Amino acid sequence: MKKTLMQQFTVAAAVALLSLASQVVAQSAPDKVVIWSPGDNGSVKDWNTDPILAQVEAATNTDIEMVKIGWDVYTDQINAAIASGDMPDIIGVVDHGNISLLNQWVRDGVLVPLEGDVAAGAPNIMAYYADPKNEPLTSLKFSDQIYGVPNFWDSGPAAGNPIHLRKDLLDKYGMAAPETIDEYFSYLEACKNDGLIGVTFSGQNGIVGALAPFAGAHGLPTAGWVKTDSGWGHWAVQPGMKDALLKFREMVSKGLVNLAAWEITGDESRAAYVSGKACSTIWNGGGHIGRIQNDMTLVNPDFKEWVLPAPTDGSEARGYTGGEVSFWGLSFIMNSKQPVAAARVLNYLASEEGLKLTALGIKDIDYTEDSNGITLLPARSEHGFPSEAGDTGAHPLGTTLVSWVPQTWQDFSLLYGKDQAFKDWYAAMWVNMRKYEMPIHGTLIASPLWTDFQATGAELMNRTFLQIVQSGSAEEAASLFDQFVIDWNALGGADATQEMSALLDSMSAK
Amino acid sequence: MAWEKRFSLPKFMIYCILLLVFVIMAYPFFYVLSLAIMPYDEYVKQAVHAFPSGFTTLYFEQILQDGRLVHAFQISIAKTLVGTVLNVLITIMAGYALSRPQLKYGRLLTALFIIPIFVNGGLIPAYLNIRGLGLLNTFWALILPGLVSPFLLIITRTFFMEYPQELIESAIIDGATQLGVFLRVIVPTSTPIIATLAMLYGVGHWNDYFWPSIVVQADLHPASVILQNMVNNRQVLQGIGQGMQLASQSYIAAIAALLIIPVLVIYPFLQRYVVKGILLGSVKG
Repeated sequence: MKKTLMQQFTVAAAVALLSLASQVVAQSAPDKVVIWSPGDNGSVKDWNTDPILAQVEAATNTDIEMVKIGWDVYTDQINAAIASGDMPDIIGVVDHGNISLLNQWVRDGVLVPLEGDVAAGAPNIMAYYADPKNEPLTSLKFSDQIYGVPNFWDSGPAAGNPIHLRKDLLDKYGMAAPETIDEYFSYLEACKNDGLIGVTFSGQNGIVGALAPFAGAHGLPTAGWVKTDSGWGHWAVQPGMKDALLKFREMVSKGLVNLAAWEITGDESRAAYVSGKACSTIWNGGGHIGRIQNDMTLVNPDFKEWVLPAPTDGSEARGYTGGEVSFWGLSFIMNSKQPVAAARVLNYLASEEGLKLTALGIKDIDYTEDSNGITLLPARSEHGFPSEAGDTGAHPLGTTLVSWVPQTWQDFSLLYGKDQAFKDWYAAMWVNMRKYEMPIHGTLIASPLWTDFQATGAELMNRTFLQIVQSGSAEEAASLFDQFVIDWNALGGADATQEMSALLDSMSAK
Repeated sequence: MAWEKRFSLPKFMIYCILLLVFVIMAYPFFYVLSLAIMPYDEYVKQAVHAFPSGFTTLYFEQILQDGRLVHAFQISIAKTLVGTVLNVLITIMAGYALSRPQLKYGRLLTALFIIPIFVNGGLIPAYLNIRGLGLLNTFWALILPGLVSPFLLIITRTFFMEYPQELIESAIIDGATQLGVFLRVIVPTSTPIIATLAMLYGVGHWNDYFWPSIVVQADLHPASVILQNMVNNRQVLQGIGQGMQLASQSYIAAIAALLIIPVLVIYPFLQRYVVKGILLGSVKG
């Protein structure tokens, strides 16, 4: 009997030990996380052997399956996955303007809110929302809960589409940097007399981007809502926009605009400017300033890129339209198998350590750091980093998930190996770009009527604005704008404005 | 005069117009090829390049050194070869069977093949179908769903309906089975339609990018999907003002060149069959 009891005790003890051991093993086994992200793999040849991804896995105790999907089929593929029930754990950058789609996903229960265990697993993400500079983000809610992880590149407002021109041409023509739009036109005329094209931009999808400096000169942004006497109004139908459009039309009628501007892409517009064919462009700012100068130097070392502080048009108003917060798109944790592990991955990528990993690589393998600073090593081109600085110099993991690469790291890559003169010039251009900014409001919220009307309003606006700036006379242009305002309001804009105005007032009151 | 017979103004005008049309249609291909061999510092010097400036094979070398791209081209070749063979075989078998007057419910079966030309379930039902069959993320997902094109099936059926019945009857009298008739009499004498199907299916497989980008992941993406992703990347990210690693235009052009050249080389040899085959299959009597 004693022997039997001993045997039973031994077996029971062994079973208990085995159970405990398996739990320990299970707890320490990495959690499988599937990430879907749009775009292509960049320099990464094989995610399964990528050391940067491996580092993220080690830091978060996860086994990550990274799947890159083409932009044009991305939403289709996500919808197909939702329909099949076989969803990934994270979906990278989805257009935050696609309110109806995101609301649909929230209603279907396929997205996980940043609450409870998930929020606890992502303190760095929650810090984005808590930062006062990113206060507009708190309005990015669906069914009154926070779901999205914003894809950042900077804190605070984004740089808009500034005016770029050539400092070497200003010097050649004996001109100072223009302060007013008329002075800018004088520069363009001098270029035209010199056999160059004036200003180039991409009008393929409308002229809103190129319109920003003109709108700013009349106290208006080219996005969001503005305070009016009766509450809030949409920027496109404000009286000042007529003057902005008329001024833009004047530029077109004087032949100061690239004739091909209405059909070309952003790439082609940039190429016309960089090659020296056009003497000015209205294009993306930010880190692109440095990349434009790099390319210009290849064409002619004497070409000097210059960003103009936003010009005036006779009044004190001036400013480029930026963004309320510097981000584009939201990543989401899906209601799949491992939401907390997914939160851990995103949290790590948003941490200082994670940002440095995707910006520089692994210390002493991809770079060294000492009192003299950071030195990049050739090995990093084997680890998914671009062999040249590339657009941001970062690993593909640093984009479309949490960070589009913070501006500080973009600037590091851009300025790496450059002399002090280039660095000083680059800093000065940022000062110029941000010297006068047009504040914008309400781009991150949408009432139901506004959500329904947005596409119609945008289509009407893009079509009419193009007609206005290409019209035969100022009188015709003015008449077109007046009719546009009537049509915009009649098609639903008036009701949507009323609803949005009430919403914005309620948010301001909070 | 002999030269007057050879040369005439109308003929000259026709040749001039044809030359103009050729230049308009061929120039985009030429532009892609010239971008593919253009060094970057030459590319930035001009906004538009009418003719190539500079020469480099750097981008083709980069493609050949990129295992991912080499693998993608291997997938493209395998998909095209295997897919085309299966497509042609199944289509001519189905077309021959549907062309037989003695086939019971032949008209109904033909109608069932025609209906999907006009109506289909859309993306999600097709995706769920492929997933349900366990084909998702397999090589066969690139081939089996599109095994028979209804349009080409109808052309094939019409071709076989015009096939000389006497040849079939004499083979049967000689003791051949139906399969024997098909393999030993029909197939060897149906070169036009087989070449037509091979060309059209082959080009379709080579250029196909939408379904491969949905039903398989990156390790099975053909080169067309890689190219499409790179092009879209540039457009989307430039459009929203984002910086990211962007493949240079010349690198993208080099991939496009490698996708275009095989079709440009092979098509002229099979073109006469394509024209003849489509006409044969579309005109009755």
